[in-house]
Amino acid sequence: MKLFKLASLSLIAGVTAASMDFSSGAMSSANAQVTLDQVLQAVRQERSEVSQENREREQRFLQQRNQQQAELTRVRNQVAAEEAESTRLEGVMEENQERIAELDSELASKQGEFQELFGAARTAAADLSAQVQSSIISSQFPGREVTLMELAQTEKLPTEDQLRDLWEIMIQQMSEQGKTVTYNTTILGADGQEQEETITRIGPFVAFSGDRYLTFNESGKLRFLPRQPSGAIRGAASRVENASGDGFVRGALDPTLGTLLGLVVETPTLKERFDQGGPVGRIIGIVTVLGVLLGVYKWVTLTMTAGAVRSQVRRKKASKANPLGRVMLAYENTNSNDVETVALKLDDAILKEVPKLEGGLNLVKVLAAVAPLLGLLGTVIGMINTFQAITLFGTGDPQIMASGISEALVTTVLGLIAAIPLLLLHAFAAGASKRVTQILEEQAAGIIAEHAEGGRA
Amino acid sequence: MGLFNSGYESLIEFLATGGNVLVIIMGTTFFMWALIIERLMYWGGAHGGVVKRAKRAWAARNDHKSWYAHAVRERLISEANQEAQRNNGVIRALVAVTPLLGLLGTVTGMVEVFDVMATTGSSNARLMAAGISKATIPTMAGLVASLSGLIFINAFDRNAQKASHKISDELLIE
Repeated sequence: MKLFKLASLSLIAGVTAASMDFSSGAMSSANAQVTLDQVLQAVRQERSEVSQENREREQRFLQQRNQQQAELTRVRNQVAAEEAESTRLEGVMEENQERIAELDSELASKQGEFQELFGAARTAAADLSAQVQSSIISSQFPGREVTLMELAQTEKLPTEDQLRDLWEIMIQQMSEQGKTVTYNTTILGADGQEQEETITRIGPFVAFSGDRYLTFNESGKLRFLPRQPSGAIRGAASRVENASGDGFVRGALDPTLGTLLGLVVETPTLKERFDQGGPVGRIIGIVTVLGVLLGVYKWVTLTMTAGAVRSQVRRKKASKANPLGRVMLAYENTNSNDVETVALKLDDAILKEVPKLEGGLNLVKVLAAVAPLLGLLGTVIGMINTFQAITLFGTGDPQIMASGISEALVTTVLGLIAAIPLLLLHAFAAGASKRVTQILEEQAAGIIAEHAEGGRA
Repeated sequence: MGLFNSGYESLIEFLATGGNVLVIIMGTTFFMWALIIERLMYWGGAHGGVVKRAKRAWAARNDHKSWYAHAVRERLISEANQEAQRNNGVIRALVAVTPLLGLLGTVTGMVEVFDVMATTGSSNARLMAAGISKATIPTMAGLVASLSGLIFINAFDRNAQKASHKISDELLIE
């Protein structure tokens, strides 16, 4: 039953295919008459061609696979060979290391106590090299530290020459520390150019040339200190330079081997100190100059007036050039003999003179009082600046607060420096003024009376 | 001699620890004491001579009544007062100035302390010691100098006042 169904289905399919072929053949053209046999022929031929091709490809692939296989085998062999070589080399290396260790221990045992000696020599060379590098003495004997560094850093055993150099340099350094010598060397000028200069060196402490001090920097060259120490110390330098060699001369040396001289550059000069005072400092400066000029002027003129008045007391003839003379002239010009009128006239003449004598003195006194107050003002302004800096930056860096603090202190100093001479000048000038006024107020009448009586007698 | 030398050396050492301001204070104090000694000598003897001279001049006059006599008496008293008060003003000014000098020393010493802090960046007490001794010693010296002068200047003022009263009492007006 089932077989029958299959046969009928294939029959239908065959008929359908035949009818389709037929219809297409009928539609294409009448002269291209293609039979079913021809089609079958063509299909068969094509299939055989394709299978032929596939066989060939299969053949090719197989061939390629064989080639790859051969390549793989070759590489595997190579790897195996390399691994074998590596193992061999490892063995060699281990052998060599063993040999090295053996030789090392042999070396160590042969060196014996010399091992420690060479270690000590290297340490000493490193220490001395650092010392020599920063020592002024190296300006006289340059290049010593190179020899020492070689000895300190070498892996090899130090040579006999190197060891000899070590103790020679050590002894040279020691003996040079006790000498004061003058020699020629190149130094770095202010413009960075090298120049030849004759310098004098006191041990490892200081070096100077023509009363100017030099510093020794890391590059192994001397250069002049940008700011020189005070005159007395420079005088000591030129004394040492010009010493004849007999007896002793006094010189200055820096026991810290240059640190103190380096600080000289940091210390501010008087001018810089004054500038630290800021605007208040300048105002105090102006007040001081004005006050001192006025005070000196008043003191000198009042002393001269006092002298003139004293000589007037001794002379009978009244002069217009001094206060007492003018008072006496006022008396002589009075015609009245009435005592009260004379007394009034005298008082009047004296009153005219006194303000001239005392004028300006009060100003000096006020300036003397104002100067410390200005100093206090500067102090407070400086402290305000300091606290402002603290508010902004905190207290971590004292350098930030330094300018405020120095302003505070410098203005205080300036205020006091102004007040002290002004007070003294005022005392002297006021003393002179007081003497003259006393003569005028208390003695003018007496002197005139004496003269008048003398004239009458 | 040895005592003198050791005294001199300790003085030099003291001046060195006190700094330049201490030298100025020492000079000022010497000047003040020269004036004080001059005054002491005056009150020790010279004043008697001044009073005697004034009295003699007054006694030599016949006329002790007229305006002229009054004027001459005033003059004699004023002259004696001038002698008695000579230099008092300067001594008083110096008494006022020496503590100020001490204060100056204090502030310059503090400036030095801050310089040390600025240059070394540390607060090493040993380094700051020099500045601190320059700050404190002049203050002490200034105060001592001022006090030594203050006692004398007050005595001199009192003496001058008393002497003025006494001489006016002694030159009698009829």
